[in-house]
Amino acid sequence: MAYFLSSTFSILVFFLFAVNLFHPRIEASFTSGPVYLVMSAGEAAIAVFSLLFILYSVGTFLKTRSDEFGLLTMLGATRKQLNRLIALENLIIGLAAMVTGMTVGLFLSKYFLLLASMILEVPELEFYMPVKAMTVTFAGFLMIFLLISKLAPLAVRSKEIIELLKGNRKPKEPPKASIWLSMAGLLLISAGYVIVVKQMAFPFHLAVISIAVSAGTYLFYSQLSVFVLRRLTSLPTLFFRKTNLVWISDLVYRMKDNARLLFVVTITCTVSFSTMAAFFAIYQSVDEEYAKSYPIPFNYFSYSSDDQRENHLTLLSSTLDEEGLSYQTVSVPFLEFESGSRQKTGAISAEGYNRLAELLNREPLHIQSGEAIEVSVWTNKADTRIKLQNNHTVELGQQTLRLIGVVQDNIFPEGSFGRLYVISDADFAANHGSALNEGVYYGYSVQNWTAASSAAKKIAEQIGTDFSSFRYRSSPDWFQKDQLTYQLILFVGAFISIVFFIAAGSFIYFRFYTDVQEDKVKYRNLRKIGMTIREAKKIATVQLAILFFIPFLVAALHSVFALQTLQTRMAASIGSFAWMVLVFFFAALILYFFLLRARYLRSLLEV
Amino acid sequence: MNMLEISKVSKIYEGKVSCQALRHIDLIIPKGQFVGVMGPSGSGKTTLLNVISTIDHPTAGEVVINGKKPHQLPAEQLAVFRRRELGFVFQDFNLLHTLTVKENIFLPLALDGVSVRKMNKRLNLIAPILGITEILNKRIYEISGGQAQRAAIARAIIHEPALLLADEPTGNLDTKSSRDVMELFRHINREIGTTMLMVTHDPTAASYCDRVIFIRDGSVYNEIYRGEHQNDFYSAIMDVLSFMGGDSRDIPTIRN
Repeated sequence: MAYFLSSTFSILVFFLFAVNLFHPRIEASFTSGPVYLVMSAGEAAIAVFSLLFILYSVGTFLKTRSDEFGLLTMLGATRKQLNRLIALENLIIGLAAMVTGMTVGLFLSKYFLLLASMILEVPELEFYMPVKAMTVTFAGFLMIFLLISKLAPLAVRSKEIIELLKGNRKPKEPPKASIWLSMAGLLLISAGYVIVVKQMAFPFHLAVISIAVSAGTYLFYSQLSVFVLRRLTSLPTLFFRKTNLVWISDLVYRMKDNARLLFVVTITCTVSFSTMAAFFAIYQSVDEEYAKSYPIPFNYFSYSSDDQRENHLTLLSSTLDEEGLSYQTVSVPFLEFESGSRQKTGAISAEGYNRLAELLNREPLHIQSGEAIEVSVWTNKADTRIKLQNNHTVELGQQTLRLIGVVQDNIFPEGSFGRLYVISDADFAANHGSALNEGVYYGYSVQNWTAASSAAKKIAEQIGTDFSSFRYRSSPDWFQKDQLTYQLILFVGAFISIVFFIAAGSFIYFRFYTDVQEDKVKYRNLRKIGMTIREAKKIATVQLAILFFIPFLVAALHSVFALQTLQTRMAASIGSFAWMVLVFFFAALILYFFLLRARYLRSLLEV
Repeated sequence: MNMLEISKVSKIYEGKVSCQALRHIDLIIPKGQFVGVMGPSGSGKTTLLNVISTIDHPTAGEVVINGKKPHQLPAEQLAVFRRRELGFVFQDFNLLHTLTVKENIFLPLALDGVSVRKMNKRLNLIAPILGITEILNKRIYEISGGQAQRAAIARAIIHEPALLLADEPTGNLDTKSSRDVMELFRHINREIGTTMLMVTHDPTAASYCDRVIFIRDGSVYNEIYRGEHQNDFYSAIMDVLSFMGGDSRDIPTIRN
């Protein structure tokens, strides 16, 4: 039943996604763009994932039935017959799951399409008969189930009949843990964290961090957790206190047995938490990022050779008028000097800067003759900040100017110049002759710039390009394109993360479910010697909770530090979005935990 | 004083084919008596044991253990009753293999929230009697079947139960270990005065009891008391078994 449900679930997920992917409207409008690529990649990821997920659940399914296979073997069933039985069973369950999954999927697809159209901001995607999606799902999963029906018999192969009959009921040696490896695990994790916090930079530091933290996490489960639990068993007053005796000792074994699984779950969750938080933050802050990299949304740099200047400025203002957008204009003369690279060194006068600063609500600058202040051409991020050295000078044309200060926030769109200096009005006037280029910058500041994308598109279509005479840069049109892409990535990412998340929880549950027959006998006997049902429930709950929540808590901790490294590369703050994502996942986890706990307790305590 | 009083207990398993496992059983066990229950397969002896051990409810009749009527208690209190008043010894020992011998023995006391000091005191009292002092810190996979059963007996008596119930305690042991375990039961019965009820197939094991009750088809068929000599008692048991008939498989022809 559990196997059937997990198969149905994978098929349902795959099918819903396919319905979206193959929707006639999406196919028609997005076939070549990043949208289609991202969705196809998502579909492929779900397919690979389904294979692993179903493979894992079939292993569980067969292991719980090992005594049945033992009995059949004893009655003289040959290996071949047994394999055929398992293969046939798998195919039948697979087909049944496919029918159920697709039927349920068909019903749900309407809502799913509604959701997708809401997220992709396209007009409502109407319900349709997804023949293509059905064919693809059917063919894909038929292949998966055929593969699995070939692989599944391996799970019960090469065992003596007695082993099949007795399952894994043999007593085991208590797991050992070395204090040194435990310490090493802790050390590796904290080393990774310290590198992140101290923002140490050395070659391949990201790779070093991930390897250190991953190795540390593995040791955390295989050594440290066992070590700590074994220490607990030697504290009599704690260990011999009521149900502690049973669950602590049992957990020592479970931890060691499941170390690899817990490790995989932790890493999976870390990846899905951090990517989700990052995507969410990026998506939520696209406008913020654009507002920062384009302090003024419409920018027109006109060189002295630009004979279209008047026409273009009229085009800009009339288009903005047509769209009913209110705007403020500013014009600032600038000079360009040779810098040795494609991006020239720019200079503007203090008077020009102060006019821009007033428009952008920034501090005005006061500069004497012979002095200069550098203004960053990039947004204010940890790794793009300019460091000012003492007695630093800058040469512009024939002048050598003393650098007296730095402004870390850009005023022109990112990368408009290689470097940008503000100099005194007198020096600016004196330098006219020696500059490489000179020109005037026109800025159109629109308050409600995110709504200006259609105006920006119209202008971009008509203005053309001629880099020798002018440069035109606007943000609203790019913003809209980026926002759509991020929305899509977020949509696909969220979908896949949630699937991973549910699967990760199921994996842990499957491990408990594999042992449920054995544990059932154990609890029945414990209840005979006077363990109350409440105590039995408590033991099972504590164990399930520890194995269920610890990987997620560790993953959450890892993600916090992973996002920390990401933060240095982003202008917007990720923190609040990370919290939102974590809180959301945690709430879902608790819900999921209680669902699985109820199921587990029911099968554990049934007589 | 009577430790166990059973009056007119019946048990009917409802189902497609209803089956009456126990028919109006009356049984009184005075304090300190060591009673064996014998009978062929399907005679109802396990059902009787389950009813006495309160894990199964009788359809009719009354069970009084140590002056209390456990079947009237709600489930939670019933479990507490079991861990305070009853001790269990099983055929397959049922020791938790994740624990050491000592931890297994402590289990019922730990569940009851008894302090570690008290637990150790009790253990020091009974460990020499059971001869398990050397194996206390070993794991279950490190000890033999006979030792495992002794550990299980220690677990069953450490809380000084009113009644010790044993279900085929020698069923999984070889002849030598079986004899040791039975000697031990009798020793505990004499030394500590524990009241005991043992279900068994094995006439040799039964010959260690003070009194043996024979059950057939859900009712008491016969009962005999032990005299001076164990050998005579063994013959008497064999006589009843062969007279009772039942399933010949249950009667070993030659033992010892």
